[in-house]
Amino acid sequence: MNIEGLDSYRSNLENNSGSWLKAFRQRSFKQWTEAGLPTVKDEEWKYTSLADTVNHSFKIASHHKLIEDKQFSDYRDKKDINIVLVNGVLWRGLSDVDHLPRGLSVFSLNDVIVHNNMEIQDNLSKLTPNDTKAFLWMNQALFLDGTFIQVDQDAVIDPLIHIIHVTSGIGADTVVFPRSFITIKESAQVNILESYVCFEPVFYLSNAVTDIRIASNARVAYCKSQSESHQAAHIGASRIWQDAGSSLDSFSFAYGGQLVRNNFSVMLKGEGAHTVMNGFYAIDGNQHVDNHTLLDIQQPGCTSFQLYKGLLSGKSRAVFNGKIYVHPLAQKTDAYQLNKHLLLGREAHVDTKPQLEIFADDVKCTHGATIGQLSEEEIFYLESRGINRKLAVQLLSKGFIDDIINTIKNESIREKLSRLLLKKFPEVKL
Amino acid sequence: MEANKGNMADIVRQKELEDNKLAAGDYRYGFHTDIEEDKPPKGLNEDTVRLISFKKKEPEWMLEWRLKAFRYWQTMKEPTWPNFEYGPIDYQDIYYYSAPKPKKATPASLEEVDQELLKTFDRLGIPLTEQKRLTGVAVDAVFDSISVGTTHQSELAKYGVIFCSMSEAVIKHPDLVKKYLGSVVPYTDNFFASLNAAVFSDGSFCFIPKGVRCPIELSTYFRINAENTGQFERTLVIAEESSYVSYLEGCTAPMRDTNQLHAAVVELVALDHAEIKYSTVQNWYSGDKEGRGGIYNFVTKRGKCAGVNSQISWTQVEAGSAITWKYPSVILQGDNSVGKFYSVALTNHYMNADTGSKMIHIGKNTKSTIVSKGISSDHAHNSYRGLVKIMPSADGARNFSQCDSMLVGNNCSANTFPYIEVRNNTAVVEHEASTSKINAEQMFYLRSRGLDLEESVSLIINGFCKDVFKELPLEFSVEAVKLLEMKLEGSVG
Repeated sequence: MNIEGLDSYRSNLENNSGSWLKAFRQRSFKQWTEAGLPTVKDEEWKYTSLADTVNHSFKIASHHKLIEDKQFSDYRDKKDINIVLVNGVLWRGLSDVDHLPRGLSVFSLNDVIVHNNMEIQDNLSKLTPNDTKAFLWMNQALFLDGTFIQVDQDAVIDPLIHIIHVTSGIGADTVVFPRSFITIKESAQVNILESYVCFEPVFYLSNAVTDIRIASNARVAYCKSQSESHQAAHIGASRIWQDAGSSLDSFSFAYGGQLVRNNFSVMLKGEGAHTVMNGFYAIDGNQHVDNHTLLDIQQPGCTSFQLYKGLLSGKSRAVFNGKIYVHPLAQKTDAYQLNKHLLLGREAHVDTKPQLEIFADDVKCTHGATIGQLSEEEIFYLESRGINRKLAVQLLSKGFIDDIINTIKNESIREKLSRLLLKKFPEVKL
Repeated sequence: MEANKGNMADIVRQKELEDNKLAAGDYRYGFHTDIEEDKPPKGLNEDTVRLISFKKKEPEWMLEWRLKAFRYWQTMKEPTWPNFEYGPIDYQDIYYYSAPKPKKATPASLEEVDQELLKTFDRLGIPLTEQKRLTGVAVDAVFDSISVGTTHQSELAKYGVIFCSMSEAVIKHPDLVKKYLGSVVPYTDNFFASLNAAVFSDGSFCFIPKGVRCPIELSTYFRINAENTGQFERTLVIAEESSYVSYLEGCTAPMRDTNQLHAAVVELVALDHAEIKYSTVQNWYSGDKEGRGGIYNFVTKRGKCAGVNSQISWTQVEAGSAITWKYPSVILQGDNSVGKFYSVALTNHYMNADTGSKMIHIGKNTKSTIVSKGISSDHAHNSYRGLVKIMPSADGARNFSQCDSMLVGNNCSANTFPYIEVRNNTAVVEHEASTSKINAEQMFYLRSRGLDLEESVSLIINGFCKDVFKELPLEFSVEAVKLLEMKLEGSVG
């Protein structure tokens, strides 16, 4: 992977960083270049080839202005607390950072690191077993800015926090490094949506990393909605650490992108934590979406529920790898995982690997995977009632989608995702 | 006087056997037979391959094939991906050929085979002598590197069924061997299959002609006896159009502190409308409580449903070996062909089992079923690793997989690595898996009815494995249940 003007960009970046960050960036750069990018020979990248994606001469986004677009107003809902980042840099003009509710603070990531925030320093250097190290290190070496969000102890934030990463005003072959850090303190409650959007039909690579720390007894709903440009590549990592008694309701939505890889990892490091880890991908054309999820259960009494669904049209390809790892200490674990695919496209491909690794005996872990198509009988039923075949297929697909979209409890998130899906099924009211 | 001596030897042997039984607790096949053996020196090079071929009086083409395989093997690396670790194997420190020395140059019939050998198989519960052959099963007995005898050959010949050792087949039926050997598992397939192709010593060959339903069950019994040897057997089963055969396989080895290598290859070919049922009860020595010794069982088993409506089913009970590395597979090439895989893998002590199945769907309307049950206790590791692949040509393919694991004790682990690759949108694939421990309520119910702890566990485990046991032929099914009970003794509570 070749990046133009990398040396001058790096020296510029490092000179503007504090001593800790400078050393951190240098270390990460060294690790990244030594590790090299993964190939299909790596077990974790067996079904996703990066050869065509990284074989470009990349540029780093140099200016961070938003080219206003009508579509953008669809995203920016007045009810929500919007935090807008353009090409990885916090854009204050469009963000609602001045009138925040009590207990919520939002900063530019750079500002916080400069003040030697130990929590961030500690966390930025962490690795999880599900990380694609090369991309994580690349992000660490080259990220320009990001957002830091903190929810204080016992705070209950009612409106939805909507982080919007916009890639805008770039030429072809640009690479961007969105980075977010969210920390939720004890017993706080919050709903967060993180959207990745672009309205320009060009090829670019987005290497995104989001870290979330959830302290004990906090309740969090987090949704990642990815609707990058259909030409783009998105390689993202969401890494969430949960403390005792906390509860996470997460959702990963993949809609855009030509090549998408999501590493979604949840580390349960406190007793009795609860996790919902759902996801949905609706893809067509030549899209390739690869979801790698990890549930790393380290302490006893944790429960988890996971449902990932995929709707594949055209020649699209989906990869799902869901790993549940139960450590020897984690007795009384109850983990459930299901992965379902509906293949509408004649040449659609699926590679799925639900994976259990269990080292404790008093556990209940189950997983399942199904791959199938719409039942001819159901289509016939609708046809016999005067509905044409095309609409019948869309209606039945909608049923498949509704099942998963309705698991999202926050109305504002559900509406936004439904609006995106509407474009796929114009004849069906969602 | 002479007779007395014989009796004395019998008594001593009986005593040895009992001692072994006590020492092993759960392994009653751990004895060693003292017999004079023909053993060329250790080590592996082209001369070893030539020597094996020479000893077996093989034709030139067979030697050529072995040498090609050996040269290819030299370019390969030992795989490192399995989910376990094992000490490096020194391939130069193994005897590649070990055969009991015959008293006569060539025994004309079973009656002339060394009495020592017959007694060994008697003790293992495999009667080879005429008067005891009432069980309705034809047996090919393989002792270290060679087959010592095959029963029921003449009866089978009446039906046109060929059942003999591989060495005999190479000489007597070269056309069949040439046509099918390596057609399912080529010598380039994997590290251990290549090694096997180069140095395979014996195994069974079985050919069922068109339209014949094999009247009795065929079986091979493998016994490793000599120390520091590797056993590399090769089995080939061919079922012609509309034929049927049920094939059984059993294996044991003496207890030793060192690990021994067993790298076998089994190939099955089913033509149009043919059915092959292949059952295995694998009970190699698995090492002692501290994990010392045991067999490394690295096996390549694959069947090809070459014809339409053909069917291959693998049933296995994996109860032995320090390490099992085995993925019986079916290539579903013919339209409407069916592949089945039923497995129970029981691991205790420090055993490692990495096993599962591969189903490759190529033909239209092909169906496959995978049912795998893993039981893990003590410090054992049990992994299910499987692949279901639906190729673009496999319209209407159907697969159902189920893999359940049970954990007994909290030092063991159970893993599942199912790979599902679908390239055709008319396929329907279902996979489900679960991991749990013995249900406390079921235990309580049985205990409250007066069953003791071990009886209760054994009953529950039997129920857990029922789906697989019912696929086994009757005698094997009974043996499998007993084996399971013996293995689990003492690991509960």
